[in-house]
Amino acid sequence: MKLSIKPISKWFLHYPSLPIIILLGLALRFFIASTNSSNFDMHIFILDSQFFHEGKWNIYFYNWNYVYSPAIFYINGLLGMIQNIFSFLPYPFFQRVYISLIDLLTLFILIKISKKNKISPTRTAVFFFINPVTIMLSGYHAQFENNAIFFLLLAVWVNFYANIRFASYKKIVAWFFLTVGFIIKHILPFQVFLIEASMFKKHKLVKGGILFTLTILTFLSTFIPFYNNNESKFVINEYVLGYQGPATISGITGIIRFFCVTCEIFDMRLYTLYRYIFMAGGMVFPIFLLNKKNLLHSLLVSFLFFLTFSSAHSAQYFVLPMAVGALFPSRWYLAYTTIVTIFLLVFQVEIGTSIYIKVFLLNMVWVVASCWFLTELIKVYPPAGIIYKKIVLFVKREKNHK
Amino acid sequence: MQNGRKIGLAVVEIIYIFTTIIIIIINFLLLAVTSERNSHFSKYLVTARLLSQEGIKTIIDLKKQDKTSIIIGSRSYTWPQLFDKIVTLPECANPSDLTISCADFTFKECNTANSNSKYSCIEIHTNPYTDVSWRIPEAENKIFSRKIRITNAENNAKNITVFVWWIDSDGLHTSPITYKLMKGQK
Repeated sequence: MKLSIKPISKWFLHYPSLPIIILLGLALRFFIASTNSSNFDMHIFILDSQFFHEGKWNIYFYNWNYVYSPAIFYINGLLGMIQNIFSFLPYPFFQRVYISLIDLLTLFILIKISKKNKISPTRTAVFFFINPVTIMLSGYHAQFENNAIFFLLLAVWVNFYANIRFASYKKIVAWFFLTVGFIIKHILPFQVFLIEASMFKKHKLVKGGILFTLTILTFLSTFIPFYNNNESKFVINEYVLGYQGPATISGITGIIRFFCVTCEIFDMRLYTLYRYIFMAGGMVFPIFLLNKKNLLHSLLVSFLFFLTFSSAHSAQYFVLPMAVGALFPSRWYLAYTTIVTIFLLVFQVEIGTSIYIKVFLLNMVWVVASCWFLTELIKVYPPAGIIYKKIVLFVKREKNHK
Repeated sequence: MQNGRKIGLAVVEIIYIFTTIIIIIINFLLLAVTSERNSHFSKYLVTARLLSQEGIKTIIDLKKQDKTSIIIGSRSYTWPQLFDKIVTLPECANPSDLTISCADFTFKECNTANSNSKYSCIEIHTNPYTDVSWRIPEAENKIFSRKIRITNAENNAKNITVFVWWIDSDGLHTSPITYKLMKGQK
């Protein structure tokens, strides 16, 4: 195996502004990381690190707030051990620094991919690393979506860009990274399936399906050591595997709920039914993207599909399209960055601000993400553009007619 | 045209970078102002969830013990009696609504019949949720209240909802957990 990793110093010679971007991005992240404030998720992570320290290994028994796979508990525990050494610093600082360093690794992969695709690495770095959305979500929220994205991009780089001689070996390594990413954060099944299926030239669906099944089974097997009492079973089934996201106040479920809170079909609430439709649609959509030329762009479209049709929106989900989006910056990318930034500024003031303002901003993010999704969809599916133009022409004609 | 487009994008990028810097500065100022109360609220929310969890676990433990641990008025019942419908619970219009009154219980200490040893039991209350009798004295800052609501589920099952709530200047905050308790659950 021959991995072509050129010395980073060589990059800096070719792109002298890169060190400045990296230093600025890290400095801003670390500065926010040092704040004493912590949100709900961070308080849960603090508890996790304490339970790890006390040897309470079955986290699902001790902390019912914990809605993640076991991997995050171990990461929290290890970060807690580091914090015990430097006990003059609070736990959140270490988690935020960890996620910031993950961002840095993601940036290195993005730069390598940019160079291979003849995209300006400096521009990619500016859009990703000194972007207020990534800075705030890594430096303050410090959730693990960034970690999953890193492994997704690492898998893409290994399979499609790295100079590894044996194709099957490449696929095994890429599958491993995708599975690790999925174990860390299991909100990206569509993207994992898309990449796994794209790794093959023939019989993509079957081979990708087999790899995806293996990923799911590996993910589920991580729960086995914890699945040994009624309480843990309840938490794993209800809160981890059955996680439904925050309250249905945004996007399509928000609209459904607005018009009909109590509507039921097949003995279930309409917005609950929509969740299942979204999951099914989400697994079908990657099939549509499979034969498109540019996998990275397809990944971006699938992230935007997630944001557009998701049955719930959390602040940390908004980091999903940022890394891949930095490779394809557009005016919608900037609009999205702006609206998410405003939302995050208001959102982190968890009390004191009217809930209506937060819901309004959350839905504004959804609207902009949906517009961005449509513009990117038109690029991979031109008929959508023709339909869009016809609608615009029709609207104009109707206006003139009036 | 091509050159013009390139220049246009550069201008967009410059505006973007300046906006970024301004927004980040505003963010720092905002964080400094709101960090303390923001953090307190999040911590209370996590504590409330832990207290709800503790309530559910206590109920599971109580059911495992074969004792008369459900007190309704002047009578005490065992958990099997609850499942066998010897104890009838009133129908609840909205089990997830803390503010309405249903079959709502609070934890207390009971004495065993033959000795003075004490054990946990639950006693029905009809007080409004604002009443101080729901308070958890041992909880942090003594601001949290808790009630246990038992509602009918399908055959051989009861839904146990534990509400923990607190009230501050922003109003009522609650953190319920619902657990389906099966008759045969060990």
